[in-house]
Amino acid sequence: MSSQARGLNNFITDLRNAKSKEEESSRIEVELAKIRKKFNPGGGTKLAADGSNPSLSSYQRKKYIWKLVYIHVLGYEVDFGHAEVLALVRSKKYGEKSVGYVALSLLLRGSDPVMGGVIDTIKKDLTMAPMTKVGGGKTSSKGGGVKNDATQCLALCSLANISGLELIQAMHVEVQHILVSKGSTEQVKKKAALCLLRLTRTSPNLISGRIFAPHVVQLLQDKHLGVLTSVMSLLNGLASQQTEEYGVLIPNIVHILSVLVLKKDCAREYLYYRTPSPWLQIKLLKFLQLYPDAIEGHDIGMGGNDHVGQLINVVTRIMFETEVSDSINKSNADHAILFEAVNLIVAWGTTCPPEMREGAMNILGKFISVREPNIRYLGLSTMAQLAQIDGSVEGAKKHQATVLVSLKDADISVRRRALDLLFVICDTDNAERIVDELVAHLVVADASIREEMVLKIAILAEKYATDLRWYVDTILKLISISGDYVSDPIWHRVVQIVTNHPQGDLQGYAAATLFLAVSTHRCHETTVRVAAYILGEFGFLIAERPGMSGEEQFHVLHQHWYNVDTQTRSILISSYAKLANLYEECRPLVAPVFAKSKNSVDVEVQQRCAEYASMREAFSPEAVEDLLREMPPFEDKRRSALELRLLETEGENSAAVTKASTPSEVEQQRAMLNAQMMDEGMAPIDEQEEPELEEEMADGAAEAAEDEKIAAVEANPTLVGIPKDLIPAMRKAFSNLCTSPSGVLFENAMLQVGVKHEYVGAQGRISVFFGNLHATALHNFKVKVDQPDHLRVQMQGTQGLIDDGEGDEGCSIENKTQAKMLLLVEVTAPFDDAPSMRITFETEEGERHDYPLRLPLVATCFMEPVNLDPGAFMQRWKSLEGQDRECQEVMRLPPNSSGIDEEYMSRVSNIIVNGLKFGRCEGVDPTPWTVSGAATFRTGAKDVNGNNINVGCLVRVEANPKANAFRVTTRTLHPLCSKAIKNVSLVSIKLAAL
Amino acid sequence: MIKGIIIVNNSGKPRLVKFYQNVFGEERQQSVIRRVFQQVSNRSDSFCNYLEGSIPEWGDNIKLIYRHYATLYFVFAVDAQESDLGILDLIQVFVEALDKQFENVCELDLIFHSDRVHYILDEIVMGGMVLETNINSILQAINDQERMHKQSIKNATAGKSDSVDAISTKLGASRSAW
Repeated sequence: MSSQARGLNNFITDLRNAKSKEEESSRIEVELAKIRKKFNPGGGTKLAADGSNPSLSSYQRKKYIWKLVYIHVLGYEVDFGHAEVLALVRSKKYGEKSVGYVALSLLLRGSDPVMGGVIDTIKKDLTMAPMTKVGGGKTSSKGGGVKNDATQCLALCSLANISGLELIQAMHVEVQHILVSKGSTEQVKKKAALCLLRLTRTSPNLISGRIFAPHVVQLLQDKHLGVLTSVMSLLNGLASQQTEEYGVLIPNIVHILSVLVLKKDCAREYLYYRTPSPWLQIKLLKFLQLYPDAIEGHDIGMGGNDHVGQLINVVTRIMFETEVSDSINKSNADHAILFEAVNLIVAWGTTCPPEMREGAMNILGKFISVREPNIRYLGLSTMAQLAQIDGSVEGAKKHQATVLVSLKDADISVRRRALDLLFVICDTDNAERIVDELVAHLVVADASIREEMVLKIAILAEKYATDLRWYVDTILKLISISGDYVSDPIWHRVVQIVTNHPQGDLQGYAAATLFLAVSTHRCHETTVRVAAYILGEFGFLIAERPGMSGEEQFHVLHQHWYNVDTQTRSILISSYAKLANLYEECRPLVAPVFAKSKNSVDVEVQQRCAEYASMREAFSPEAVEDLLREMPPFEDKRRSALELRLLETEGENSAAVTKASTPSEVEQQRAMLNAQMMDEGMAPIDEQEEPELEEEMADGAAEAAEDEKIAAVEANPTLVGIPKDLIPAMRKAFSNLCTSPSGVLFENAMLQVGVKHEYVGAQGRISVFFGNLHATALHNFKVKVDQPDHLRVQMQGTQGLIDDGEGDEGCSIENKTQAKMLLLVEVTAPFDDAPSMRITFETEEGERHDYPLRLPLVATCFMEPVNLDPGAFMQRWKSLEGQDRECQEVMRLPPNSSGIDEEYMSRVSNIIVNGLKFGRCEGVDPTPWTVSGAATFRTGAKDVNGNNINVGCLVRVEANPKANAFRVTTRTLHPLCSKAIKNVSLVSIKLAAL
Repeated sequence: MIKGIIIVNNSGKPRLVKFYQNVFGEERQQSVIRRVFQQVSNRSDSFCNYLEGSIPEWGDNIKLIYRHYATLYFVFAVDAQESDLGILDLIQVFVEALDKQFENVCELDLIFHSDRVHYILDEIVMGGMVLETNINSILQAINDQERMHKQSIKNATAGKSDSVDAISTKLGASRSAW
């Protein structure tokens, strides 16, 4: 039954027999050359006025054009034959015309210049008068009537299928006329409707709704469902452009819909698997979705007679009476309608009766647990829409576990929808669970979805974090699991958030966490970037913690130097500059890096190095200080970069985007909190335990710092904290006090804090003096001492001095006088830090001061010396071998120190015996280069027999004078004791070098 | 709307290509086809029939809705305005119409009768919109065209016009997938 020419069939067979792509294309080249020759033989042959070859037979012309079409479909360029195509279109014969039109829509485009020549033909075909139906007799209307119809159809069809045909936009008048003309047959009408739709798509506002709506009413009367379907397509297109103009049609649409749904009244041939034309029903429901407030304010009783009542009936019927069918096609059709009905409910939103919304949610809940992937996919996708209506999210959250199952589906499409839905139903209640699940899944997720997941996790974590530390942790996890997908905006955001939230100890926490994260040699480059930035800004908050000194911060960062790209190096360089500024001992480390990188091929790296290196010569110390100061808080943009990224990938209408751009409750709270602080003229206060446990400081910068006036905390001039340049001196004072019974803990131009402490066994007595060095009185003077779990503390002091959290006035200290505080403590468990003490007061000038300090109350204060003979010492030493009982660290003295000699060693011995209160065990130290000792850490806690619990401690210091280094090893029964003793020993030994 | 329809066989050879939102140039059209084939052919038949992807030529938010019949993928690229399941049904209608026309259609029919496949598709989808879903009506239109075609070819051997009618009486015979 082939209608195709034999030559064409042979050609196709040849192509199919081609063994390779090359063979195929050379066959095609031959054919194209042949056809070209046929179309334009050259020589004496004269072409017709339109450029076609008049000597070709109709059969040949069609054959060659079909060949060209076929070649085009195979993907080869066809750039000739246009004249022949137009000749076919112009032909009077239907057979030629139809081929011409097909080729026209495939081979040519509207902007082709030859198109101009065919416009008139199309117009003529279009307006061809249909044969009037004489008496409706079948025989009389056949012949010419069908032919004219068919020609009209061809013209309409090509108008609709050729895009970019500006020239024919003007034909919309004719098309519109054909559509509404009584004489047009159904076949013509439906094509006219779609053709018109096509024209209005390319040029909106071609048709005025006010004038056209009445015509649509007429068209909707048509009994032919094919015409109705096309008219609905047109109507939906028009109504989405001019929604208001077509609102009057709602009752008509509801009427058609209820005939189909309630009465099941439908021509037999439009039943698709026994469902009345699902496509028409879908289009009707889609139209109604354009009017979200259609049912608002109406009495929505089920029995209502008006169109709203009817509509509710219809939707209810669709929702609750759709049966599950065995036939996949039947079930597809029914569910297609059902999903549109749910979409209509989504469009209505809160104006929809709640029981319908709940019903819809339940139905979707069933869908997302079925195995059939299409229904599950659509269920997930629709639920994400429904869950966004106010009050519906709770219903969706019930299905959280089911959704998580789909997140692990093999099918990427299903996983995407599940991810989207999880994103929508996530809120403060379930954020941790959902985010943790997502992070867990990220480990196994494949590449195609990772980027999207990372982005969404980052947004959720930020949005719903009740504790921002969790947010920081989550992002770090993201980086370590799939760092390549963590885009710059994500890590920039972490930096922003940490910088903008000085409340709590977020900044210190972030610094410490990142310090640990970059400590390992293998970590993602993005981690290095974040760490470099955060440590540069907030590293000073943790510099007092064991093992996290500025020098160590430099080392953990710098180990990555050779594995990172220039962008990361630029960030590292800035961090080094900040470290070098704060810590004297970092300067000799940083200088060679700068010197070397001054010749870097990368301009950015080169410039930064050169500028930082010469900064000190070029500017005054104050200016340098100013340059390297912490960054001010970031501006809070309305839309974060992450949201923009989401918008880019998903488009404005996506459920996820709407969600991401609405601030969550916690976010609003955070924003409010920040705003409040600004209003009250209080900079956000960092409650993080500021300075000091042990730590070195190699030079005499401390003395210089003492005279320095306290710099204001930059965000707010009326609140004064501890200036950074005072910190080295404070550290030194603290370390000294750890091993000596009395001394000055803190001193600046206003205040001097002195400490005197003595211990017996597990008990201690600490006196703290606060001396006013200022010219006028200090008011509202308060001290708040942290009471850690491992200490029982009793406090007494000057009236009002001790801040017991009840918001009392505090005391006043007149100039040149002191306030006193006495602490009686008993230790109950091993520990490795020191309690914090916060001092706040106001001057008469109205400045508020706030100094977070630490009391020199460390583990070694509670030691009692033990004298052991060498044999017993070695026996215990060996028995305490093992990982968590031992602590060891090697420390190199600063290069400018005097070196290790015997006199130095005697100072070390003195520190161990008098400072740390260890019993020296000289028998195990055959050379002067080691010092060993033993002690008992006494606690006031009782064991089951009522005896005090004590911890035996051993320490050994080994010096290597050649390397100018010490190694300290401690072994105790308790890891915290080992650590504490090691820390205190190291710092004290280092101080002894001065 | 439907942005395009691509029928491609299991080895990636296009058998029918129709762009409703035009993509100009063979090179770019072929790249669209390749991209579509790559994405669709990677999927197991047990997966759902939807694939959210981006075909830059058609914009970011298009969805590929496809069905896999024996050696052929029927892929419809649509925007968000179309009903997902409705398009699946439409593919089924298209295939059933082909099946009626060719009596147990197979890939070869699409190769050797690409003209008729085009005509049938033009009766179902026009300018990216659903035109007709009633198979009777679709085939009737095709038959009418065929008859006129034959009438217009004066020199062609006169085909018995009854043969076309014979096909339409077989409607509803086999609706199963092939």
